[in-house]
This record gives sequence, structure tokens and C-alpha cells, in this order.
Amino acid sequence: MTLDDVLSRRVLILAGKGGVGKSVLAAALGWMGAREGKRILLVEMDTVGTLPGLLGSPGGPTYTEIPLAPNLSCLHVDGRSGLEEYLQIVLKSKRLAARIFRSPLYQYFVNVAPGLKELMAVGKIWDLEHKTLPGTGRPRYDLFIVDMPATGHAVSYLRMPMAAVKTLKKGFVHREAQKVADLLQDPRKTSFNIVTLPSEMPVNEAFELYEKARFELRLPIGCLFVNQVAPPFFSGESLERFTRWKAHVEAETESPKSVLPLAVQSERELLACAESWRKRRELQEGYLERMRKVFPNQILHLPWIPWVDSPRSLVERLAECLAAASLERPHEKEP
Amino acid sequence: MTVALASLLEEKRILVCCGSGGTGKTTVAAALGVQAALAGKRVLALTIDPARRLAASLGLSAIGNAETRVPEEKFLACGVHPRGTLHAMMLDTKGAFDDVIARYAPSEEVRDNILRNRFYQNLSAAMAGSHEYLAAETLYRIFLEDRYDLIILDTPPTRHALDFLEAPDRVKSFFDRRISGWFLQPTLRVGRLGWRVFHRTTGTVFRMIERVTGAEFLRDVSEFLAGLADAFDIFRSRADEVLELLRSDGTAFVLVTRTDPVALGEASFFFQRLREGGLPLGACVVNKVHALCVSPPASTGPPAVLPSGHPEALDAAYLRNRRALPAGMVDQLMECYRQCLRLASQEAERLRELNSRLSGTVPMCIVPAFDEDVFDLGGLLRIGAFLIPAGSRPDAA
Repeated sequence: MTLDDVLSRRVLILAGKGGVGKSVLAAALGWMGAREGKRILLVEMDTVGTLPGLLGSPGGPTYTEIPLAPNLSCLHVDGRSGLEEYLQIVLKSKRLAARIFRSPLYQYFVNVAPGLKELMAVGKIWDLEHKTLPGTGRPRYDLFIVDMPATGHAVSYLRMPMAAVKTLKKGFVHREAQKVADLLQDPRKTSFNIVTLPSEMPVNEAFELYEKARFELRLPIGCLFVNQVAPPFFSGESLERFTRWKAHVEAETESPKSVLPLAVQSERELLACAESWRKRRELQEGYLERMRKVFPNQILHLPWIPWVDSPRSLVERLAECLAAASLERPHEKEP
Repeated sequence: MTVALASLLEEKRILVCCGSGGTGKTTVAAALGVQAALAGKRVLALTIDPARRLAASLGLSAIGNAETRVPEEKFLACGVHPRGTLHAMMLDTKGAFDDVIARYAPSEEVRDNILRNRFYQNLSAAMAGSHEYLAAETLYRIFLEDRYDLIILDTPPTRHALDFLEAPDRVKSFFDRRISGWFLQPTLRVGRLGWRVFHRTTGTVFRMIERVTGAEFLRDVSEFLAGLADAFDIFRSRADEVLELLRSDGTAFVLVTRTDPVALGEASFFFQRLREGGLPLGACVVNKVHALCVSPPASTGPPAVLPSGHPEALDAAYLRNRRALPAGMVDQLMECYRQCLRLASQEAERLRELNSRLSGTVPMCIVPAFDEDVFDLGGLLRIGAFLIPAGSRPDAA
């Protein structure tokens, strides 16, 4: 799958190690899609209020959809509310439902039933996917971008529908879970995308996640987003000139008389900054190569955006990069 | 200012490294462990989220519940002589859960039944918070055995890491006899659900659960709880004791963060949580500070935030003519320099803000982003030099 394929499906799942930039990427993809005219819902699975905050909205966490920009809304999905919403439908009586939700036994059950909250949270995606605009029959949203929690928790969320189908031989949950599992595993509707950084631990986790998603959870694999990639350093003749310059600067013990001391200091700092860029790229190169060997679909390199004034400007910059053709796409192979 | 981190290693029995994902908790925990071992402590570094390459390079190949000593040769190979010892342990949560059951089950038969119980198997694999509970439980068990001077715990990688602080309370409510008792009704255990014996709402809820999950689930829960019924009070009191230990004078939390706005936002959320929970914050480590990689500070004295230079003093013509650099390259280099400067001043501003939020009561320690990934003892020593500068080492006095 390529980025275009992923964006033309209905459900775009983003997962990866904590701190690799899943939420920022989710917001950027949503921002980009919304500007292209798609109606997009960002779905927060674990964090509370991170996504609205990234887009500069003061709106706190709620279980209702918050509009963030034209065509772009956000929803925090939490399993407990999902379960209550679901049970109200099943029980067909608000009064009875309210009495049950107050009961300590119910509270206990919700807390201890393993995976029930996770199942309900994932189930909410199915529910949303089936919602239509009143009167028209058109889907309410074109694309759902799901920001999953960090690796381990993401797997336990996504495993839940399949696990419930297996463990519970019958009953409501069995039937509902089957529907959810079918949606998640449908390559025409869903893509499972991994976000990582070009460094040791995030890459290892990305590989593990890829194996689990593909062979154990049997999810349709989308793209691999590599965040914070340094731009390629100089090569060929330019690199030779750089190296000669570096040798000169390092060899100079006395500053040339015609140059001010401030300029000398600045030239040294300039060289140090350039060296740090070169080393970073060199280190990343090895990880980028490893990913090219293992990952079958498109790999997208996202630039390192070192300074921003606000989280929102980071999101906008990243969205520009995603939309721009200049984005490095080193691996244009179809599965 | 960093003297405080050195004195934490000296005075505390437990350090808990916490913070959001990707900040480098595991590495900071390991680096602190190395420093404490150098200073003569018997240290255990306890982690759930092993960095495999780091573990392998320390000579710890097995991931399991065994405490493994980092061989002395590894230290000697780096030119340092540990006066104490460093053990590391990687918590395998499924195995640790089985250990807990084995310890509290009244008989082997009950133990085997529980281990085979489907509810238990799902519970241990899937229950959010079970990792956190096991980390706390394991920490407590090892603490009571009193074989180490210092235990450093690397908390599980949850996004807000709330779960770790809430885990003991969650366990307490799980083993709340008033409610779990309902699952222990004999009628339920034989599978014939006598709803009439219950209060009306309770009966309704049971019927609903049965309708939602099928009767087998209720039987599994009931069997699981019945097997452990005698251990309920032990579980509950241990959960209390764990919380008490975390709040005690012998414990300090070390918050690990980065300078990007997302990580800092989560860090301030953490301050609040620790304060609300009555948990003692001992130090704040700001990791992966980019600006410093350009000009690392000397090992003593406060780290300088650099570069601080003046790109306007640099004449592009000078670089082109005297240094023979192509024009396009000069532009790119100057752009890189300006970005580094801007990043440095932004980071300096954020560090100032963070410092004022810590209001002088919690020491802040800055660790730069290195050009290489840290996955061996040499790397941990490099980080350690920033955590515990040479002059502040207790053994240096």
C-alpha cells in the first residue's frame, strides 16, 4: 500500500512506540485530508485531550465529537462510555440502564472483565464507520484516523475482537466482536500503519509490531512512517570540499588576521552544527536501510522539524511536508 | 545543582523513573544504576521494557524474572572499577503473574486450576494495569528480601503513566470482598444461575452480563475468585503496603522528560499527579537536549546551552572564497546553523520555564542528545557523567 491507498480507505490506524509522534502525525494527516475536502474524524484511543490540544483547541476530553477545523473533528473513545452507550441500546430502557450503571456490581464487572473496555473502544470504530448522514445515506465521515496507544497497549486493543470471538462462543459480544474483527481485517476498508523513529528501540518495536499485526492479528498493513529523519548530507564532490574545509578549520590554531574573533567562533560553531547533522544522518542511514529490507510496503520519511512555536505549527508544517511531492519515498513497491 | 541526584543515590532505597514514552526512562534508570554501583552500592535495576541491545551488551541475555549480575569485566573493560554490584532484572509479566498466583494459591491443585482458567489467562495477558501492578508487587517483594541497598525501577511505558500509580488501588478494588463475593455464590459456581437469591438490581446485572458474555464467563470468574478467596486479604494489605512504601522517605521519583512541547506537557501533568498522590519527586532529568550536543559542557560546573554564536558575523563570501565552499552548500550550512541556534534558544527558554515550575525545590539535571544511540556500558557512563558530575560524587569527597 502507498500513502494514497491508505488515505482512500475508511479506517487509518496509527501505532508505534511511545514518543515517536503518533498523535502529531494523526493530526497532520487529518489536517491535510480535511484541506483536500475529506470529512475526517480523529479518534483518540488512549490519551485524553492530546489531539484537540495539538490543534490549539481548548476543548477538554469528552465522549462527543469536537469540531477542530472545517471538515475535521476529534473524538476521544473510551471503553466505559462505549459500553454504556451499547447497553442502552441492548436494554431498550433508559431507566433500567441508569439503575444498572449505578450498581456496584456493574462497576466491578466493568473493571475486572478483561479486555471488555478495549473491546468496546475498538467496537466504537465499527459503530462510527456505519453511521450515515441523515436522509442521504452517505457516510458521515470519509476517513477515520485512529491514534492508538503505545505498542503493547495497541496490540491488546486490536487483539480483543478476535480474542472475544474465540473465547466467547456465543452471546452478544461474540456476534458484535465478529463484525468488528471483519472490519479491522478488511483490506478494502482498513490500513494498519506504523510510526517510528530511525533509532534503535523504536525500530525494533516497529518490526515487532509489524510481525504481530501481519501474522497474528492479520491486519492489512499500510505504510511505515519514519519520523524525524535528518535530510541527506552532502555527497560526492561537495562532501570532499566539506571535509577539506573541516580539516582547515580544525588545523587552524591562530585566527587569520583579516577575520574578526566573533567570526572565528561562529565558523567553529557552524562546523559543529554541520558535523552533528552529518553524524545524525549517518547513524539514521543504517536504520533506514534495515527498514527497507524488512518492510514490504511504502516507507515515508518525515523530516525532523527542530523548532516550532507551538504544537499546532508543528502539525501544519508536517501536513505541508506530507502533501508536498518532495517527501522522500524511497520504497515504491506494491505488496 | 546535580549534587541532589548523587545524594538520592546515597540516601534512598528506591528510585522510580517515570515519564512519558520515548523520553529515555530505561536508559536513565540503567545509567543511575551504574553510577550507584560505582559508588559502592548493591543495586538492582528493574525494568519491564527491556532495550534488548542494551541488555545484551551488559551481558544479560535472558529476559525472565531472574536477577542477573552485570559482570565486573564489563566495567573493567570501560576502565572503571565498581565498588558495589549491579544486578538487572527484566520483568516478564506473564511469568510474574504466575509467580504471584503460585505464592498465594492454597494448594497445588487450586494453583493449576487457576493457571488453566480462561479468565485468568486473559486477565494476565490483557488487563490494562496488570503490568503496573506486577512491577509494584515485584519491587515490594524484592525490597522486603533486603538484598540490595538500592532498587531502581523503570516504570512501564504507558502514555500518561497513570496506571502505575493507580495499580495498587485497582488491585484493592478487584479483591473487594463485598462485591467479588457475589461471584462466589455456590449457585453460580455450579453453573445454574439462581438469580432470585440476589437483590433485584444485582440479579438484573448478572442476567445482563450473562446475556452479553455468555454464562461461561461468569463461571470462569467465579472459579478464579473462589480459588484465591483465602488470599484476598493478603492481596489487599499488600497493595496498601506497596503504596505506603512508594510514599515513604526511602523512595524518590525521578521524572524523565525531553524539551519538546509534547513531552513537557506530559511532564507537568506528572508533577500534578505525583503531588496529588503524595509521592515524593526527587529530581527531574531533562534528556536528549539537542542544543548541548554542539558544545558539551565540561564534566564539572553547570552545562552551558550552546551554540550561542552569531551567524551574522559570518560572511558567506568569506566561506565561498577563502574556504572554497560552493555557494549552494554555504546556504545549506548557514540554514543548518540558524536552525541549531533557534533550537538552542528555544530549548534554553523551555529549560528556564521548567526550572521555575520546579520552583527550586526539585533539582533539574540536563543530559544532551548524543550523536550515537546509547546501548552499552560506555554510553551509560557518558550519560552518568551528566547525571552525576564528577565533583558531586559522594565517593569523591
